[in-house]
Amino acid sequence: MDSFTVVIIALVFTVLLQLNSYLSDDLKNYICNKFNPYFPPLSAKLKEQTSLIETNNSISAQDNYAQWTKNNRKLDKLKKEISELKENLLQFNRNKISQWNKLTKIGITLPFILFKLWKGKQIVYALPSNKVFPSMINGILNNGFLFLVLGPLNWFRYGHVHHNVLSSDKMVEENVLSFGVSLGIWCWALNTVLSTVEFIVNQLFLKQKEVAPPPSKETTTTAATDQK
Amino acid sequence: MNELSEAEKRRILRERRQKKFSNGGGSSRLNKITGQIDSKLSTESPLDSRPNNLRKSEKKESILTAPNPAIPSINNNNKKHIDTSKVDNVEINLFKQLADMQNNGSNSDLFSLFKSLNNETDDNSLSKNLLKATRTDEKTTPVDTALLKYHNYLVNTLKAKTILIKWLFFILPYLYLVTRNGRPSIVLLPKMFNVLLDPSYFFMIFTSFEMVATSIYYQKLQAIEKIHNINTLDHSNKIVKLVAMIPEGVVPIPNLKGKIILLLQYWDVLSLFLTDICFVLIMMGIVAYY
Repeated sequence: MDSFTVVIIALVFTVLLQLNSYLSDDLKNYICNKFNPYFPPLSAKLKEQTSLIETNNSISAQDNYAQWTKNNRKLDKLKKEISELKENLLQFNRNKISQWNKLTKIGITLPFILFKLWKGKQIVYALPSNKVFPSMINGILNNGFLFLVLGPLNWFRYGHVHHNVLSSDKMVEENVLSFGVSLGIWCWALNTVLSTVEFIVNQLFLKQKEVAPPPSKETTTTAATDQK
Repeated sequence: MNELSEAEKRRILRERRQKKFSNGGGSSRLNKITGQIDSKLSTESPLDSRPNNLRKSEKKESILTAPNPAIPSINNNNKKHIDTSKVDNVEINLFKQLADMQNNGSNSDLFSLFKSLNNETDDNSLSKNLLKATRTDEKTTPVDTALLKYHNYLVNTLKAKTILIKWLFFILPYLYLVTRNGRPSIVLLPKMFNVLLDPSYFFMIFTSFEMVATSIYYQKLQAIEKIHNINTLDHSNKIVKLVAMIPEGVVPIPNLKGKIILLLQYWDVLSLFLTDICFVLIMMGIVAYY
């Protein structure tokens, strides 16, 4: 599998995971309501309840006593039925959402983790030069975070820290073998950048501007005493 | 038995009443009940008994030492002891004033307890430790939630703006110039700057820029903290809040909370640096493919 295909697969997984994280509980509930068998009877009962309340409000309880009490009894009965239906509807939605979460874990998260474990060390792209980053950072970019642990061990065993990457130090000097960024590191960088972009957009453009609270009485009084 | 006339009886009664009132009347009776003046009830608290005993012993010592000028050292020691107690009392008063400022009325009994402990123990170590512990808590004064919310909003906005400016106005153009590899340059730079565009200098220049940018960010952050008198990590970080709940002395690390705050500050700087490195990697990838 070439590096471009690996990048595309990783990108698809990342986009799917991001989209899933953007799905709010309200949206999930809205989608679930579309397939909920309790939703149509509940909406019908709610409509009936509102019409009964309206009629009861329009007539006098003294003049139309019989009709008013009949409606009232119906309303009491409807209240119980609506609460039961609501309970069932919420239970159904909860089950569906938990099933959806399980499905995303099995369908997206787990395969992505396995993919990263399988192709995590594959070089996605080569760095423009071997001297862009220090050799220690080059080793991490090339081999992943495990290099931090294995680097010193390799140094003890082979005499240099990046044994897996290079056959000789001379090749690095001559720029024959170039360092690159592995898939694991690239995915981590992509997730960090995406979350930072999300934070920036949310903070600067979507979040409601906070207004400075008026100074409390305590602070004003202390300020006055300080002035004295 | 000669009987008194009605007028005499009335006079005697009037005199008795006047005598009673002149002696204090109702108030003296009230004092007797409440245990103040002329009370037969004991008003001494068990907490007061020890200092009294101490004072008595001090008096005895002074009586013993006063006629004998040959032993001045004991006197000096006593003076020192009194001086230290005065210092402690000043500390307690200061603590009381601070607590009053926080409108914590329930501490009055606690102060008397501290005072008694202060008098009880000779080395005052326990009370001093307690005062120390409370003083460390005083540093985290309660903050108005609306002000804290506004402060957090300002801090987050500052962070977002700093990252955005760094990415758009430095890292992106610099990365383009470093990785252009024969592509035509948009900007015509003088030859002396061409050395800086060498990829081998990239990390050095990038790290220097990060240092300058982070120090500017922290100066701005501290200015916001100074205006609102709020320590951001102290009031909004969950880890710090959890560590603050551990009582002093349980963990054998002195000033654990301060150390955690310092560690989190370093982590904050490191995370800013790592975020920028991630952006560099992603941008380098895009440049490498296109």
